[in-house]
Amino acid sequence: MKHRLYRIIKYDLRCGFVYNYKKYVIAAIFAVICCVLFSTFSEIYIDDESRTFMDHLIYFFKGAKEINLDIGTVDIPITFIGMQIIVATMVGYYPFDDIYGYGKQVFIRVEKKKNWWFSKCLWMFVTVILCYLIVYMIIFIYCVATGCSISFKYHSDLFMNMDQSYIGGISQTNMILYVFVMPLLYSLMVSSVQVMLSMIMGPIVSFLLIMIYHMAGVLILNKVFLASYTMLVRDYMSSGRDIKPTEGIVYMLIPLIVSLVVGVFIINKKEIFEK
Amino acid sequence: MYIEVKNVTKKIGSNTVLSGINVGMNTGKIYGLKGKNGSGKTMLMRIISGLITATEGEVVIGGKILGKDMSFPESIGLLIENPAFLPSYSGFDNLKMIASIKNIISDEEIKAVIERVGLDPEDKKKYKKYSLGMKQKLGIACAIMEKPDIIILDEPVNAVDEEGVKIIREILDELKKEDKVVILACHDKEELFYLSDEIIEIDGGIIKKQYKVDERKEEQSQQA
Repeated sequence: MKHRLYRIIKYDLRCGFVYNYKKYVIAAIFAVICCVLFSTFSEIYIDDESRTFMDHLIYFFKGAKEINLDIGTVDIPITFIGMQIIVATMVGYYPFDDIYGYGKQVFIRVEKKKNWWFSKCLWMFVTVILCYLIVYMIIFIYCVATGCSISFKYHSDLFMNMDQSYIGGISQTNMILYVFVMPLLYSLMVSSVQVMLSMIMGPIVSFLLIMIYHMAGVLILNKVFLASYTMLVRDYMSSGRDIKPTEGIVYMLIPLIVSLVVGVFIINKKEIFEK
Repeated sequence: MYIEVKNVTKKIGSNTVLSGINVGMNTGKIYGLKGKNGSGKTMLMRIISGLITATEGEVVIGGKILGKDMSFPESIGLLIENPAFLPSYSGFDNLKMIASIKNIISDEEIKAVIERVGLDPEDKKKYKKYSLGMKQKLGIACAIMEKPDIIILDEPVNAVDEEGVKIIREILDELKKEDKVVILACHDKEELFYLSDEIIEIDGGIIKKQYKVDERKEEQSQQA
């Protein structure tokens, strides 16, 4: 059984890559566009040599403040939304299409239905991590190519001047969490829920529900919408809001684990008709 | 390998698709499911293959209860409705990928089965460029490549040319000699009678008749 599971995982990684490779290219292009935008917006405040790798990462992952009805401002974090759309299109369709199409042949060969589900979960983790790695790699390459400093130092005044984003006061550890851990963990959590939902209500409805969840997190500051925990401009040290990354990690792990476990029950009860 | 379908009922919402199905299927025989569209043939095939669970009753295969002792029959090949493969891969690459899950057959065996159904194993043409008949043949190759004990074929001769039908007949004969249980459904009544040893007539989710094709032929010749 152990070997069979290993072979299913190998199949999914290969087949999933064939299915998604164009979307990895889109993720890379998106990262380049964001880098160019940041260079353009920041050039009046800082020169290329002074701008750092960390500045780029902060621009990509800083997020935006929630909607303020008093002063009527709506700040949409394009980088956050763009990244989540790319991830959602990558993970939302393959497991569903696989079970109803090509994968039907695989499904009857997996011995146990839960093997199929575990393999899809692992594929989903690898896909999301690879997508983030591509973005980090593109930002790194862009920094090298444009002569930016490859450093984890950052210029908080730059973001204050650019769009009044105050990011001062955040510890170095939390800064690392915000640019490397929180967005990735959030995407993994949301992707697990999305894949689980797609098994019940299909990929389109689950994609739309997830997009609504992302948008709610962008517009509203509420602990139910965990997007806030990925945005360093909402951190308790920089904004005074009750958003702590360590708390966010726990909150994100709960739905992630629950959706993986619930998925086993769903797949065991799943009936395979035609699409 | 004996398949026993015991009092199987399948309901989808308020609609009863299959009702109290009782049938036994033995090795070395080809069972033809006969019935109109929506009579429940494909549903019965899906239940035997483990893709769908019966609302009531059970399917026992080789002494093991499907859905309790095992998720799927341990050795099964399947062609249900349209075969689906990776569009950007060749026929051989597609089968190789699927065969890698069980890892019990070699590349040579995959090539041999592709050749057996009348396709060229060395053909690099992508699956998306295949004709309907070629897709169907590849689906059959996929169902039989690992020499499973149970083979379920839904409309195997769909879109297949005359030469292809002849090959499929030969393959089914071979499978019978190899003591496999073959279950097939086919809209072409003559073809179904030609291919099958026993006919199971389903109408409105109920088995109306079950008879051996040879006996029926004898009866008909005596009446004539």
